[in-house]
Amino acid sequence: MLARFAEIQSGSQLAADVCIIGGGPAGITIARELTGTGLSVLLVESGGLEFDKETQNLYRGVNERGDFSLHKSRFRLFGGTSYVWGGWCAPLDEQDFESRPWVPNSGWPISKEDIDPFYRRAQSLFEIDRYRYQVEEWDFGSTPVFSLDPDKLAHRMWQISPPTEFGPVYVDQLRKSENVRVLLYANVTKVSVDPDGSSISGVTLRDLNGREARVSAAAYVLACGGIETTRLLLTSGQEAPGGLGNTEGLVGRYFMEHPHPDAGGVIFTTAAEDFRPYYEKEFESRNIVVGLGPSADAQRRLGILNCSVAFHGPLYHEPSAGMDSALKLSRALEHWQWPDNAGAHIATVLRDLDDVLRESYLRATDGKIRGFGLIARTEVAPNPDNRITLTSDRDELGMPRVRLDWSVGELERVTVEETVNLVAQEFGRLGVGRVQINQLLLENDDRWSRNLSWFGHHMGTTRMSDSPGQGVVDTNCKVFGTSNLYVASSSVFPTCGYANPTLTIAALAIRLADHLKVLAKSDRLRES
Amino acid sequence: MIHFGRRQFCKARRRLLAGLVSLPVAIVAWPKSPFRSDGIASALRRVFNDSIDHQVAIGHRYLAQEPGEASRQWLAGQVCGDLSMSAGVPAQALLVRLRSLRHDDFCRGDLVEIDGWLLARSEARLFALAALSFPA
Ligand SMILES: Cc1cc2nc3c(=O)[nH]c(=O)nc-3n(C[C@H](O)[C@H](O)[C@H](O)COP(=O)(O)OP(=O)(O)OC[C@H]3O[C@@H](n4cnc5c(N)ncnc54)[C@H](O)[C@@H]3O)c2cc1C
Repeated sequence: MLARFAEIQSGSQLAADVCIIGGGPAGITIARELTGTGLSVLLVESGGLEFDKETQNLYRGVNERGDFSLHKSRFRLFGGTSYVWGGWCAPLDEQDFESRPWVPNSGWPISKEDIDPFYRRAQSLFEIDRYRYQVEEWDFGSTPVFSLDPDKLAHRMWQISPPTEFGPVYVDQLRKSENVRVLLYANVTKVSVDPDGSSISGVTLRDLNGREARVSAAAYVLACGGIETTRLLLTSGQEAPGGLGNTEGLVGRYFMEHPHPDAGGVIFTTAAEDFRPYYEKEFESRNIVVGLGPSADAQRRLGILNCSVAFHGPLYHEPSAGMDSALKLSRALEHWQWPDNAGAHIATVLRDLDDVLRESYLRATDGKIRGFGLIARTEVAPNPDNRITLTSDRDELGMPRVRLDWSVGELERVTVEETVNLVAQEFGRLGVGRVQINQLLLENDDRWSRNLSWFGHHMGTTRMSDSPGQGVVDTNCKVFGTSNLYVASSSVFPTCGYANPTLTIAALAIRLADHLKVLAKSDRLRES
Repeated sequence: MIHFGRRQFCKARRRLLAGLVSLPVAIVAWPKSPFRSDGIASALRRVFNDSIDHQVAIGHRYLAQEPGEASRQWLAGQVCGDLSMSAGVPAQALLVRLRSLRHDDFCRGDLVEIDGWLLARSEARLFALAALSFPA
């Protein structure tokens, strides 16, 4: 069933077995999993089926780094940020789950093996081929992938979703569901706790016209995205100092995003055809991307994070920062967008005008591809000082807006530098190409991190742990200190690998749905 | 230390690129040039197949980073090892050795960075030898 908040009488009291807060990929996945279970499920979503500016404005906040805007890197409508996402899917690697002595605060309380079956189940949600993320599982035709030295490099693989827009793709299924109700334009503004402080008694719903209602449920799932979930916890539970689940002051800490620096480029010293698996996007009639990254052994030996580099943008002459910026500007303008850091890009184009003109001329006239730019996507180390807090400024619903205060550190720079270096070593050894590194990556200051691309991967601020002293949720994604409040979001990731997060979000959401089903069967949904 | 203006820098970068790509190709006859014509120079001519300017530019930049290596004899020893670099060295033998050195450098991870290009140390040394052998 699908309804709008306006159709419900203000002051109503709604009830459900499970209340899911947020209708993005995470919330929709759980709702789908609970379809047909006999549980009454209420999914409350802030937005409608279409984008609207007033609702989106609720996402405004401050990013102290200033390189992306909080209201442009996540979307507030049914389907959530899948409204704009790119569809790149990849699971985390085995070592991403491990505690690595050289990466402070690393380690998940679960292993890759624990989540593997859920990755496989999540795969079909994204309208992609069966689960296969090893290059060996693909047929690249007459040009195989390079045979890499496992001490240095390993292949990375993404399967590319159409990209699935979760709103339009799954709305009908939920509309038809007999046990799932979706309530649009319903903003949760507060999560209330019982007087004993451990179980959630209800949530408050509001809309932009001042109407209000309450929901009470046996279990609640926060699925509002990596920043908003945290904001709700910090805002709610006035009885608990610092917010819900925050006795240890960890809610909002360890924020992570994947920086995407331009890493340089590769110029072929062999036939371009030899690189086909790395630049061609279609194999076996499927869309995939093959990249490279430091092997687990290399990460350990070099003391670096996980990372990937992939080809982007053919080169007709040679890599240049100016051309990279020109392409970024033109791609953004094609989508009628004005990039946040447009000024910096324009300055780079002007500084490199010579190269930009030459490259553009060769593109238009010559057409012979000599190489490719390299874009990196690196893990960032979990750092408690990278943090979301509340400001005194309030949104139209009276909720404090968020401030994001964080930095990208030296380990991330070294990680990308070492990764590019390993690629240069391997391409050189194989005699196939020469690599030019973005020289900013060689300076041990923060200049490299001032011109990064970001793609709305907000992770880490309610991290999973097996003890409340180290995290906000337990291995079942239940908020420590509460009996019936769960989180389905990339905010639970203790570390983030290089992989885009949504496949993992969906896998964890399915796992959580299974857990709720088991609890419901034994009548323990409102666990105490 | 060599200082490049912005425009010169761009040109040098282009030359550098051309130099990099030129090394692996087959040896062709070297055009007559006004440069030195000793044994090392003539052996180098037979290794490079295109304007030696490219290699010289890279070599100068390498030497600016490693001024302690600015000796032709020393560099020739590093690059040629037992094959003393002279006009009589078979070019093919020299190329085979250079390729093997380069391969070993890449395997060992012994790279040098010049204008962002990550090169095998042995090829940077070869270019440095060219820079000292063919002064502009
Ligand atoms: C430009 C861009 C490109 C991206 N590309 C990729 C990619 O290629 N691969 C990838 O894996 N990821 C990508 N992402 C990230 C991806 O979109 C997110 O990981 C994913 O959408 C997160 O799903 P979610 O359900 O956790 O959160 P969201 O999608 O953000 O959904 C949260 C939902 O909660 C609702 N909500 C928020 N607050 C409230 C409230 N108080 N009450 C009720 N409802 C509320 C919102 O309206 C929204 O519908 C990209 C993101 C961006 C911005």
